Amino acid sequence: MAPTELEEVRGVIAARLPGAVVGFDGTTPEGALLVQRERLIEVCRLLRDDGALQFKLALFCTAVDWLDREPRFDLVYQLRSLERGTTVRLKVGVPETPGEMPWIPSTTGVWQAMGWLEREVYDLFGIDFRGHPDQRRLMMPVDWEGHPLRKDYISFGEAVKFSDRESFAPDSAVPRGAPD
Amino acid sequence: MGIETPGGPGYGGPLSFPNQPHSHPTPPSAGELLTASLGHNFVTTSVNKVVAWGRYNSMWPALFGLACCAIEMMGTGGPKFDMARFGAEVFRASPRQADLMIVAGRVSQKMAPVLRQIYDQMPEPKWVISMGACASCGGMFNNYAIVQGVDKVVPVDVYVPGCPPRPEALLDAVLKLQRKIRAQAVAAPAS
Amino acid sequence: MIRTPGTSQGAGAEVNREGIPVDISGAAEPGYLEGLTYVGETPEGPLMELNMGPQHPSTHGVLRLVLRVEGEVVRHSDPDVGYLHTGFEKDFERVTYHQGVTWTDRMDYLNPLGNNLGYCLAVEKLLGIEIPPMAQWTRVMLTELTRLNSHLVWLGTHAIDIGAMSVFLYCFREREDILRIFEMYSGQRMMTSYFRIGGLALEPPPNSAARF
Repeated sequence: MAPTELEEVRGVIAARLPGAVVGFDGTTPEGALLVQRERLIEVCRLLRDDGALQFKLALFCTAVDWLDREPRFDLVYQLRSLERGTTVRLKVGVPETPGEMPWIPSTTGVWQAMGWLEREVYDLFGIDFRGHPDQRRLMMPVDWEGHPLRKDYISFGEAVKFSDRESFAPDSAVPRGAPD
Repeated sequence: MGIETPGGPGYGGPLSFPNQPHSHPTPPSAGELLTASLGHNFVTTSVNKVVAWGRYNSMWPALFGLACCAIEMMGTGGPKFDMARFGAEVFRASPRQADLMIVAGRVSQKMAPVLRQIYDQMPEPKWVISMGACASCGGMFNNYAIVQGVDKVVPVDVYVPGCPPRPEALLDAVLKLQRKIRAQAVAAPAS
Repeated sequence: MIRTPGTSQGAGAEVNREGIPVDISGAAEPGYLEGLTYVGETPEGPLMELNMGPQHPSTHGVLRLVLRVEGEVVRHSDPDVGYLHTGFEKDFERVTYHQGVTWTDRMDYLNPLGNNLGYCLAVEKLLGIEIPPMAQWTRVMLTELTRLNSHLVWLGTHAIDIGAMSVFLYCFREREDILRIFEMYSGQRMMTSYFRIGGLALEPPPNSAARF
């Protein structure tokens, strides 16, 4: 999506919900709007319902784990408007607070397709989507412990030794998360 | 011998044509008389060999195609690399009716108990071919999600390397398994 | 013998759906008929919960559906996925961008070159590099052939699901020709990893147009 269209979307949001969009992420060619976590649902509703924008299609919801950054997680939402043929990307920073899971309000009420996409993020990153109607693990077995796509989750495999030289061996030989 | 037989001079001998008059230096034995009178209409073998022959020539695979190797397995059943000529064409969906499980594809942690359950549901005798690198050793996925080799879950008879193995490789595995069954019949007469 | 909702174990007064008393004293332990549970009544008849498990000829790969059926009509289905979760994303974290091409082959394994293309285009967009025209044309040709491959598998397996086995054989016969083309270009039938960041892995073989 050309930056000019992204600016247009940002302008519309700024007019209706001042202060919701806190920045612009220009690291990728498409660009993304940084949104505050508390105002996320309002912004999403506006993007969906506004006559000029009409972002009714939820393409994906994923997360990035910046292990040593504050906030730790970045939730990324990609939305598409079929009427206008444009796409917009939202990024929401989710901090990690000790004692509870990192949380974000669930956008399932706005786009029903986000239901499973958020379940996947919950399963693999351990982010609690408050208000999700059916939050349970999607990919991993139900009794799995741990959230595999977090950067501090060591993906165990087997230390494979080919003949007389040591080959790739992951850091930890002890399986994490697999119930015995 | 002076008897011109069809098929070239290498064929036959004194007993190649039954009921033909010929001269013997010694009296014929009972076996020779039997062969002479009945010809080559009997085959003698052992029960084990016949049972094994029946088993390995009609191994019915259970449908267990999981991922990419399943496509090559389907290709092996296809017209070019016909698996039917070795008796293994009938892919049964129900494990109760199958005796060969070709684990074709990567087995995830969630799928492993299902794999074991399907294996347990197959009646004896049963064999397992681990097709592909992922089934044999976890393949290129050395991570949390994939079981590093299905031999952690079920006992495997033949491993086939490749990603995915060519259909000829899978056929080679089936033939190796056939030889294995034949050899086991000879080696274990009590079973 | 079917256990109706609300029956107790070993009561001896079980009735089947026709209302005829049946004797279940010889039946197996409780839970034996777990896959066949009547979970409710609709106006038209009883609702049965059926597990269409991950190993099933029609799921083509592994997909588990917990169905609530009423006769032959499916009233509700609850999919249970994750039986082929491979951990691609975690593996991508530890390899270079260039090595990642081999992982993309296995994602949609009916369309390996298409996945290669998507990944390579994304990385080339991030790098801002342009591909030579011959590589672009070759990429388009081979991607379309892969699409053909994928659709042939779909058609063949769909036909075999509804009972027409010859179509399956015809489709796989055509597939063999296309796989020979891939083998000619890259040495591998299926998981070719032929597209790389910046172009192709190998120079197309000489006289490839005629052999095509």
